[in-house]
Amino acid sequence: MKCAFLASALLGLTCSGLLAAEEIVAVVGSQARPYQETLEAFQGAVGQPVKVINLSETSAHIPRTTRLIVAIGGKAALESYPKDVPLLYCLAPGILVPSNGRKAPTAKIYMTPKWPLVMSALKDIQPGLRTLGIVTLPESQNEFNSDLEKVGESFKIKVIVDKLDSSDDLPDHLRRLGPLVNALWIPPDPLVITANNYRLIKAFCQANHMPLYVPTVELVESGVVAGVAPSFKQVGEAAGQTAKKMLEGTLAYEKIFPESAVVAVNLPTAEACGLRMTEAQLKKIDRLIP
Amino acid sequence: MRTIKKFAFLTLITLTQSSLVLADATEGLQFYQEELKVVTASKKEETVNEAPGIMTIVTADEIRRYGARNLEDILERLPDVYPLGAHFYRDNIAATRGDVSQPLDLHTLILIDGRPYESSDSSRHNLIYDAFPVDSIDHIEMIRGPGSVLYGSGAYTDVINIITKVAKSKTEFQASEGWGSFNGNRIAANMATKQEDFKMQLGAQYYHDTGWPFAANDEKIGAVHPSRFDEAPYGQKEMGLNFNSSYKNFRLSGFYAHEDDTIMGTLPIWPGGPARYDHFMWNAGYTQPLTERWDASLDFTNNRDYQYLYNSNPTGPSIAFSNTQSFDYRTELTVRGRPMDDLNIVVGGTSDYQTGPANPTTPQNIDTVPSYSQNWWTGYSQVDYKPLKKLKLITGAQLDAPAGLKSQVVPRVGAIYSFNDNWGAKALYGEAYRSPSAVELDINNPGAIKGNPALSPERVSTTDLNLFYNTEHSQSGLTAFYSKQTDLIVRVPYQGNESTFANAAALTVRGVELETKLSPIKNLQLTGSYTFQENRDGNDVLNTTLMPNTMVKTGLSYDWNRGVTASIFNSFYSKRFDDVILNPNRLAVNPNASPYNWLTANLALHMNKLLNVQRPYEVDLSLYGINLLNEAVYDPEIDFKQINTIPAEPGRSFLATMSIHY
Repeated sequence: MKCAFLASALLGLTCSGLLAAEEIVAVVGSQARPYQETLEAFQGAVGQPVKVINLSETSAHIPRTTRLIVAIGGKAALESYPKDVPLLYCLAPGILVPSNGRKAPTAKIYMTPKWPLVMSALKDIQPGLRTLGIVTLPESQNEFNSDLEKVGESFKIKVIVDKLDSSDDLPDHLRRLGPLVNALWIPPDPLVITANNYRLIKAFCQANHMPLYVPTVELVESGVVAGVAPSFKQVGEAAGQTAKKMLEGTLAYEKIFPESAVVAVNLPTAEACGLRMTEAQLKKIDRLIP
Repeated sequence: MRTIKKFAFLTLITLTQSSLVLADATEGLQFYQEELKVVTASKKEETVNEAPGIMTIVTADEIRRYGARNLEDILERLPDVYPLGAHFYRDNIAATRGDVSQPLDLHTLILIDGRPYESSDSSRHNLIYDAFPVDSIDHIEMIRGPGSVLYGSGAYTDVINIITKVAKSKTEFQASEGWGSFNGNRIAANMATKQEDFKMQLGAQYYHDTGWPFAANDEKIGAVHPSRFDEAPYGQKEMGLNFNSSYKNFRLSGFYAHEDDTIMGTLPIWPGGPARYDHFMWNAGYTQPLTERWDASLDFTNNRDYQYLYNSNPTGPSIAFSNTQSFDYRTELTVRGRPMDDLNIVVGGTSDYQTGPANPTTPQNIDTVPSYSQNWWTGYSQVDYKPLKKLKLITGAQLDAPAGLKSQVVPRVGAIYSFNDNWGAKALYGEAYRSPSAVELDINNPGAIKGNPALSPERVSTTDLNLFYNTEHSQSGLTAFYSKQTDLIVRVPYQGNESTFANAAALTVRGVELETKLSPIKNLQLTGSYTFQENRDGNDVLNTTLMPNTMVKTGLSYDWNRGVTASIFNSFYSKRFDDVILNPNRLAVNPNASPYNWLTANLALHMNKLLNVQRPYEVDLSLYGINLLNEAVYDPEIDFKQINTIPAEPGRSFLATMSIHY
């Protein structure tokens, strides 16, 4: 009798352990550092075991016991998942998974923080900022809030969103946009941040001493003035917090813009653009380069 | 010493930091490049790599760069395609892999947004090749190899799927007018609009010219009609209208084309005369999600085809016209599902009803194709499964049950293996069929040709082995194929001078295809293909389709950011074979079908960019040159084979176009 009870208990514990282990499945696109850093931060923030599937090694077979799928990277976001399991995806700029075909909630962690945070940081770095230009493409899934013009107004910044027909039009648009704005911001869009486009925008801004702001702090070192964006770690942490809400069934939004961000400034580039930063300004910067 | 050490230490720190800094920056950019691949790939319905066929895609950008008056100009640049016509259907055939058996495009299935463009009385494609509005095309998918498992009769050697544009923004409008050689005038317009769940695209194209000088010796018919030389201006007038629309899950589309041509006649015998063709096709479809992994589509397609053409009458002075019509109705139900993550299933069936009310208005009442009606059913299924991440297996079959004819099954199997992100290979085997047309079954043109109601479908089996290499800036493929055709329907002698149709031929075709598209530097595009085929009939006679063994096609296009695009494309065709192979008594009265280079060039000026002006509209000018080397092109007379060749294409010509985009 005792043996049977122990066996049942053991079986129950094993099963519950297995169930717990597969409650959250994280699918990552590859072993590259951005995805791994986000995954580690997610695991730390969610505070429970996570089964990890790496798409560079295996297919995304989702166990039946899964209660939440977390996709890290665009490749992972586009995998086909059971539609009755909630899906949270992040680090997928340019990808929008339609939520209308899914029975369970679908949420995306964006790579852009809330706009007031960005505007406030840009105003701190460049107090004279009056008009901010943003270049984008028609097919882009834009990663910025729809109310950005309104938010800009509250910071006395006019925002001009310039939509290119294609990347080929970039030089002409930059020439036309140049006299109208006193800074440029690039959205975190793979279609816009191609190697060629990025080189071109950077060269244009350097030639015109125009501050250029980027959506990923890792790019700041490459010779732009600043970046205001959540680090990969912060994206992972935001995913962790959102995952908890999704498991509890208390998620209120499908689009989540992280509430924290890193402000990184490249001092030599800022100075080349005529931005001399005071001690008070420098105190607000999280990462100074060099 | 201490200073040196300090300096060395600082240098080391600086170098380490700067290398870390650069590594970080590079990593940031690499992240976006990695994500770019995903975003770009996700925009394709099915990647070229995973398609169960040898697929070539032509994009709207390539059409814009290289220029095109019509669909034929675009198809001419595709690998292993030889465009040709006949003495009575001009610009009618896109002969693929050397496969031509009659002066009709019998072995190519044309789809518009996945729905069949067809005519049951024959398989004329001259209307769509000449009149389809090219500005409406988003891209063209050409799949070489059999496709009957999914598409039924006629998807025999290749399938050409024209995918039209879908509205992306609220309203876009484009209009153009061009003027060119032979008093040519081309007018085109395209409009697309999107209002919440409603999307619509409408395109129109009109072309007219007074014609190029078509000069040739014609056939001799005994002592009644000796071969003689004459000339006619080969004028043409074409108009095409295309629309597609969708509201939520419902879609409605259509295509109408009209063409007035001058032709040599239904026999290659002077004098020439007029021909008029009309075609109207429309489709209504609805897609319903069934469960989270299954959906079903129901489509109803109607093709209505009319032709009214000059009927050669060598034995008397009167001019006779033949008028035929065909109305084809297809209802198709398709169910698609993904029961497991790596398993895709397509199951479907069609019901076809085809009728032709013959020639009610023919003046001389020549009963070319008597009234007919026929119906048949098909059922099909295709499954693909990935047992391994890098391996995809495909299998499928179609059951074809035509009324009054024996049912048959055509299968398909294949495997696609990806060695890594760039390299992969395909091994495909497929069978296909083509049911006989109403002309082949029922035509009754006394003294010339009589149909054979006892015909069976033609069949083909093809094996393709393909190795592909794709990177961000290039797509390349090498294919070896082997096709075996049986029960081919060919024209055979009947009674007196009459001929009839019979399942009397077999053909094997084998060949290689090498194709590539490269973009080595930004703004520069290179495209090229080398193809070789040879074919033998059932009697082991070589090159009996008369098509060229070798084709080499190369294109170069450069887009200057300042608003100039210059492109040049050359197609080299080796000689087409003399029909003396098939008829030792044919008359060699016209020049040989010698090898030639078909060189086109397109210069486009984007005026807003050039003049650096910003307007709500954009103005483009272009100059398109065709046959710039002024080659005299003759093709074998592939119909009656009584004379060696007929003229195939005009000499050097130009078209200057102005277009405006809102």
